[in-house]
Parts: sequence; structure tokens; C-alpha cells
Amino acid sequence: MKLNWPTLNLRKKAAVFFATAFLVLWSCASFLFFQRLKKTLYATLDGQLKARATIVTEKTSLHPKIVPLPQNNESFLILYQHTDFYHHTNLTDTVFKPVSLPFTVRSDSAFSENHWRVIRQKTHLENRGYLIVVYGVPANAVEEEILSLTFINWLLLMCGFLLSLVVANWLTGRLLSPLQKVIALTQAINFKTITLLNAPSTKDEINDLVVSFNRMLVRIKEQSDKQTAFFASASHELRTPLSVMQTRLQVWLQSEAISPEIKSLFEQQLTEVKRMTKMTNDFLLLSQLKSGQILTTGTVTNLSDLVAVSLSYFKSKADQKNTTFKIEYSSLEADWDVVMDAEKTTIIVNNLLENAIKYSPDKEKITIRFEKSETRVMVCIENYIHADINPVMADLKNEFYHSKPLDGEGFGLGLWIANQLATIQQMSLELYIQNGCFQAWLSIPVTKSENLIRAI
Amino acid sequence: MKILLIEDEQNLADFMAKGLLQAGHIVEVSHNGAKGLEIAGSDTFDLILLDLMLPGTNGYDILTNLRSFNIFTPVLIISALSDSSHVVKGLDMGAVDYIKKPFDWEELLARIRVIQKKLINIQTPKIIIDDMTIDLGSRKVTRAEKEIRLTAKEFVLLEYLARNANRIVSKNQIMENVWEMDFDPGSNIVEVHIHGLRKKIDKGSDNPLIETVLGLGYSLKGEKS
Repeated sequence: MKLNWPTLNLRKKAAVFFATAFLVLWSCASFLFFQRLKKTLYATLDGQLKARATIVTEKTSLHPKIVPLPQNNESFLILYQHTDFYHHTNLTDTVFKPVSLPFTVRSDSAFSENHWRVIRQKTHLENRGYLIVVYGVPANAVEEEILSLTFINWLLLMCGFLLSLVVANWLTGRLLSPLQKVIALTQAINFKTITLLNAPSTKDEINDLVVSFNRMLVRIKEQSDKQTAFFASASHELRTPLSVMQTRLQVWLQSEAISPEIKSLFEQQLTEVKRMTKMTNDFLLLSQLKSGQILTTGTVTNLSDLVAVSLSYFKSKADQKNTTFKIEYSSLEADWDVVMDAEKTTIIVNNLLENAIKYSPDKEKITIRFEKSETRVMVCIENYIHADINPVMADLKNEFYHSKPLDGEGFGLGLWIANQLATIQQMSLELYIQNGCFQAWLSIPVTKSENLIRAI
Repeated sequence: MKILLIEDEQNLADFMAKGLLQAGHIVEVSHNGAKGLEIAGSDTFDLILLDLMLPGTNGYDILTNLRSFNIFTPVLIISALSDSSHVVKGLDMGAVDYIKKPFDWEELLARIRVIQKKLINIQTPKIIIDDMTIDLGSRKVTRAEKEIRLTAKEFVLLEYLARNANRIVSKNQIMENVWEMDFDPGSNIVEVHIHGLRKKIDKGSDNPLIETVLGLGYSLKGEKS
């Protein structure tokens, strides 16, 4: 089975790695230690068995035949062997304790069998015979001790593993905390506020990383500044030739001497020039917004009048699509005077209205709703959109985003600019779509101040 | 009007001059700031159309020099500099208007007309109904000698009602003439603006001027003089 590493962060990976390494090493160490301990326990028991077997041998006599009585739980088998012929004499206590000790044992080393620990002791007799004592005692106590030690060993192993996991996790957390600080600081950086990170005092890899990041940020900032300056400069320089083209076309169109065909051509060219002018303005706004150079001037402006001016601007476009407008005010009494930068807010409303007309089917109705609460004045532009348009709502306010299939018209900057202009004025622009009905809510805070300029 | 156009972009200046001539103005063109200042000092003009970004002397310097030489010819700035700060600076330095490039030709002519009206001090027409006076030139409204502050649309609505005083105008007529748009019949835009206007015009008065004619529309009642 393949472990899904990406789900674990570096800290957890390090913790698991160290804990596993600890587990393996400790398992080996404890196995060796346990084997050693087991051997020692049996060696001690075997020593006792040997001593007792010696006593049994000493107390055993062939002439007359004397066999010592077994004590406690011990059991033994005594064999006599003669070199001339083999025969054995059972001089055991099996009468008293019928334990089936293996009398065919050939080695003198101790061994365990059926929970008994058994040892064989062979003694040379003066008559060239042998006396073999196979001595055994129950090994239950030792076995229980070993079982208990096994359990304790496993328990310690598991606890050790868990403890090492916790310690490794804590330790890696401590070690990675400077890196996490760097990540948090890096995430807070955007094009508007590119600030360099503070390098830690320690001369380690984190320091190297921060220094590298800072070098990269400087390069990004330089590129960003250059890009912004290019947009601003290019847009600015485009304005004069566009002015020339627009004025030339408009002056020609004023002339009565031109034929209807030429007039139609000039009108088309004028439309294209105006489109280019809008794009140039968008680029200039983009560069100003990105460089944070845009200033707002708050004046008391009637929101209702501002929207009415925008509506009149788009009247011809709406008429071409037979689009109608429904205007709804939530209250007859409400005062629609709000402090705002009228020029910037007009750009926002123009963008929203232009989109509403562009993306709604022919002969559709666009509803403009005005609402007011104690703290905010809101205007909502609501329209049905073409069935084949399925915008990704999360991306709508991103720059250069297009809602298919009408891409190719403009640069997808409109809603981004509208949102940025709303944000710098503490307004909010919210977009919703449900059952093909698109809503754009522009919410403007109501500012109470007596020292405000009234827009005329 | 005799207009001095100071614009370094030769193509633009030529076509602007041509258009202004077509519109019935007399135009003199300068492509250089210093030269423009010299022309402005040596001759009398009704209006100066001034570009800001000029080689050598920029538009702001020209404006400052004009005023320091006691030349108070109205100046309309035409510039590609579109920031509010530039507009504010230009107006603060004494320009009467500021138009951003690229501009709409008709808009430029309309702004020149406004300046022309102010120059020749045309007596703008007034509509007086009972104790209410509507000055269509200065767009001021007074009632019982007290000035009433209206929004742009409220003024246009009042003007329309006043022009049709003592006649009933329907909601559709108001929408077509004031907003110049066909709104959905479910819209309450007229009701809201009539309500706002009534609050400002008739509040505290024993003689309310705006009347609702149920099922028909609205009427501004009063003696028109």
C-alpha cells in the first residue's frame, strides 16, 4: 500500500520517521536485552539445579541402596551404568512423584520440557560405573517471570514509541517554527506590500532561506514596479494618439461634405477608437491600483443620480438589445446621498451595467434595486444571463478572467477594477448567481460628517 | 469666440483647430509653451485651451505666468493626465475647466459653450411659479426667498413639471422626458423622486405646489409668471 505522503506535513513526517526509527532500534535493543535476561534467569536456576543434583548424588548410595527423598516440588531420576554391561536401575522417587523425566538424556546441559527445568549430572563411581542423576524442578516461576518481563518489554516499547512520537513531533515543531514564521510572513506578502523578511540571528539553513527569499522578493518587486510603470507609461502614451484619432474622426463626422459610406466607416472606426480608449483607461487604472497610487476624494453624492447618469450613458447599447430597466427603491423616504468618490463609483457602476447589458439575452429586463439600512446604502443590479454562460463565481473578481463564450471582448479587467475601486473606498462588491439570475450588490457605508464637500 | 490652442501634438492641434473653426470659433495654435505664453500676452483671447505636458514650459507654469502677468483669460485644460490630483491642481491654479484626453468632441464644444455663456453674461431664463423661482442657468431654486438644494435629477424633474405647470403629466411622460428612458412599468423611480422633491419644495408651506392626480399623474399647480 502506498502511503499518501502529501497529506502529512513536514513536521508529522519527521515525527513518524523518528518514532519509527526509535521503534526499530529499541526493538532490537530490547530483544537482545531480553534474551540476555532470560539466559541469566535460566543460568541462575540451572546453578541451583546443579547444586541440588550434586546433593542428590552425594546422598545416593548403591550398597546399601539409599535414595534421598525429594523435597518440595523437585523430581529426579537416578540411573546407574556399568562399563561392562549396560543396565540401569531405577532408583528414583517416581513412586512418590511419577514425573516422566527423560532418562535418555545424553547431554549435561540444562533444558526445559513441559514446564520443567531439567539437568543431568553424571558421576564416575569407583567400581567403574556411572551414577546419572536427571534432576528437575517446575519452571513455572521462571516462565511466569519471563512472560511478565515480555509483557513489560512490549508495554515499554509501545509507550516508548508513543513518547518518541510526541517528543519528535514537539522537537521538529520547535525546529521548524522559524520556517513557519517565514511561511506566515511570505503568505502576507502581496504585490501591493512587498516587504522584506527579517532574517533570524542564527546562521543556519533558515537564515539562508530567508536571505534567498529576500533576494527573490527584491527581484519580484523590481519586476512588478517595472510592469506597473510600463502599463502606466504605455497607457499614458496611448492617450495622445487616441485623442488625435478620436478628434480627427469626430471632426470629420461633423463635416457635411463626407458621403454616407465614409460616414459609416468613420463611425465604425470611432467605435473602435473608443473601445481602445476604454482598454487604455483600464490598463492605466490597473497600474494605478497595483502600485497603490490611486487616491479617492469623498464627496456627498446622490447614488440614485449617479446610477441615472450611468444608465443614460448605456442607453444606446441597451436599446440595441431591446433591454429594459426596472428601478426599485426600497423606500420612498430614504435619502440616497452618500459620501463617495463619484468618479471611481461611476467606473464601478458603469462596469456592472455594461456587464449586465452584455451578458443578458435580448429583450430582457435588468432590475436596479436601491436599499438602505442604518449603516449602508446598497444598489443591486440584477439580470438573467445567457444560458451558455457559466461563470466561475470565485474567479469573477480576478484580473484577466473571462466568462466563456464571450471571451475576446476586453481583457477581463472590469470586475477586478470594480472590486478594487470598491475596496479602497471601504465599499463591498458581492456577486451571486442562482438559476441563471446574476446579482451584483454594491454596498456603500454611510459616513456621518459635517465637513463634507457636496458634489455639484 | 477667439480661442488660443496650446497643444504640442501637431496632428491633434490641427484637427482641433479645424473642428473649432467648423463650430464657428476663431483659433490660433501654438505648439510650444513659451510661444503660447508670448501669443497670449500679445493678443486678447476669449479662451485658452491648454495642454499640460508641453516641451519646455509645462501647462501649470504657463497658467502661473498668465496670472502673474495679469492675463485672466479663462483657461480650459486638456490633458492626458487623468489623476484627480492633476485636475484639482489645475482648477486650484485658476483653470475654469479640465477635460481628460481622449475626449469626446461634442463634450469639448459643450464645455466651451458653457464658458461662452458665462463670458457674455447671458441672462439665463427663470421660471417663477407662485413664490418659487427656478433659475435655469445657475440651476438654483428658491422658495419664499429661501434657497432649496436639489439633486441633479430632482432639478430636471422640477424644471419639467414647471414647464408643464398646471398640466397633468403622466408617469411615463416624466420617465421619457426626465430620464429619457423607457423604464419597466413596475419601477417606482418617479414616485421616489416626486416624494423627495415634495419634501424639499412643499415641506412647511401652506401652499403645496406638487399635486398627485390619482390614476393620471402629477401636476405643479400655481400662478406662472
